[in-house]
Amino acid sequence: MRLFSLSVPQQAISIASFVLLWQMAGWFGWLTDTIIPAPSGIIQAAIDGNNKGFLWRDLWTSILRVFPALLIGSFLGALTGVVSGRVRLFSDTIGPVLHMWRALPAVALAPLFIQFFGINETSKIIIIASGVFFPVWVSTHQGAGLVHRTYLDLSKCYELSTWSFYKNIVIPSTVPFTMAGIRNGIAMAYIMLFVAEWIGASNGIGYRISIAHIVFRMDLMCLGLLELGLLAFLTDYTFIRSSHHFFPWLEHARQ
Amino acid sequence: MEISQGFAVEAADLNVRFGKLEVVTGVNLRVRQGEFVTIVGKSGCGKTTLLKAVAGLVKYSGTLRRQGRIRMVFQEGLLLPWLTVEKNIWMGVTEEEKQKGSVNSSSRKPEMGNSPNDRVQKLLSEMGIEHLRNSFPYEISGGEKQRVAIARAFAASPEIVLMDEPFGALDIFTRELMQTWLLEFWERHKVAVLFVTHDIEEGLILGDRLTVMSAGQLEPDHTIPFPRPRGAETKYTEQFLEARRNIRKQIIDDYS
Repeated sequence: MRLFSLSVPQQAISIASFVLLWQMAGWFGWLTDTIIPAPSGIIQAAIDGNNKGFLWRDLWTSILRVFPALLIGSFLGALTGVVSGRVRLFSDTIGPVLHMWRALPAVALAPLFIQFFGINETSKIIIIASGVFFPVWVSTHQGAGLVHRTYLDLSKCYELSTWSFYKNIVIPSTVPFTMAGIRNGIAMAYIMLFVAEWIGASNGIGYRISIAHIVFRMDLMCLGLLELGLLAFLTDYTFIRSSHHFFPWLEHARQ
Repeated sequence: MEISQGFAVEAADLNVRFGKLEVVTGVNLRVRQGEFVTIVGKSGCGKTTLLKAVAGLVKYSGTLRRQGRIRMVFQEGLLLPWLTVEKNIWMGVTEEEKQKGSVNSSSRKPEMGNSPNDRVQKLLSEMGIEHLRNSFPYEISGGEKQRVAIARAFAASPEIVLMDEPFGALDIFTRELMQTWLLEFWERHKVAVLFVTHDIEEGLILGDRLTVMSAGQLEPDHTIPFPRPRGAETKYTEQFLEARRNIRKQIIDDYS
């Protein structure tokens, strides 16, 4: 139990006060535009971006990279995790390779992917998806290996087919683990999005941030950061809300 | 060797060991077709392991013969939290039958056939849980959960049902209701039941025969004489209290 908890409007006040203090610092002349602009400067940059059109174009381009990559990375990670968590042969053969690969910093692999797949949308999606894959795989692998022992008795006694065992027991009891993995994957996706757009793109939020840095447009840079933060927050929030909608039993899944 | 005529379960010199620990020792057990046998014993006496051995869930040595399909009702109910009541019961249907059709509450008819779906629908109504068909296990009470677990066990029309303290977690009033209800249900279906409990009263009110289990061994059984149908009043007859006293003494003497 939390001793002090705030309602949503109260939490909004907290954010609003922070922004206000920041803005006041700007009014007092404590902020330098080449280091950090006041919130009004960022809003001005957003209006500017809207008028010139790059604001929405960048946002949309980045979304079209992140979302397919999230889907692909999560799906492959979950699938691999269920198989490696249950099938000893698979985890003994493919597992070590995946573990070795996982130990490499995902960010450092991005240039390799570009070398391999070229500078195009596919390579960007692969870079992001590879970052999503590992947390989803590891969590799912853990979960699939931890299927309640009495469920194994149940499926044996009730003579479930292998397919039914996976569909009705293994996969559902792995869902909470996979979800935790996907939440980590979402955070990873935005890191990888930035990297992919930083090293090999001519559009997107990450590209805008890196260009703004070069030309000392700190307002544009902060705008980009704000976009990334909001997008990541919204993705996570939507994911959590929708998963509780689709799996209403989730909070009660512990036996 | 074939099982003796008229019997559902026959075990001779059945042993189960976990490493060096002997959990079930030299058990001889016979259950007739349609007979209700209860095993009463303290926690840790090996009753659950014996049931699991009969179900084929643990390795055993000795002879074990079973006639017909066998289903187990687990201690905690063990419903799948992600499936609705109706689909949980459907899980009990055999795989061959599942492939023939799917569970479909809209095809309810007054005259029920013997398709697996008809059977599931009939079980729902027999259990008095039709209104819960679309509820999830977390939305229903403990007594209702056990009814669903029992319905699931009967969904494949088994010949043998093993029950491992199915009412152990229920309060005494719900437990009494469930016992009465289980008796009515069993008298309609007449399957062989092997019912394990630590509650002497429960063992006496339900069973045709009662056997005490202690330290992995079964003792000579008692035939329970009370006429059926038995109601809650049966528990307060002189004869019942006498039987209960004797069995309690038998269990306590084993440990002193």
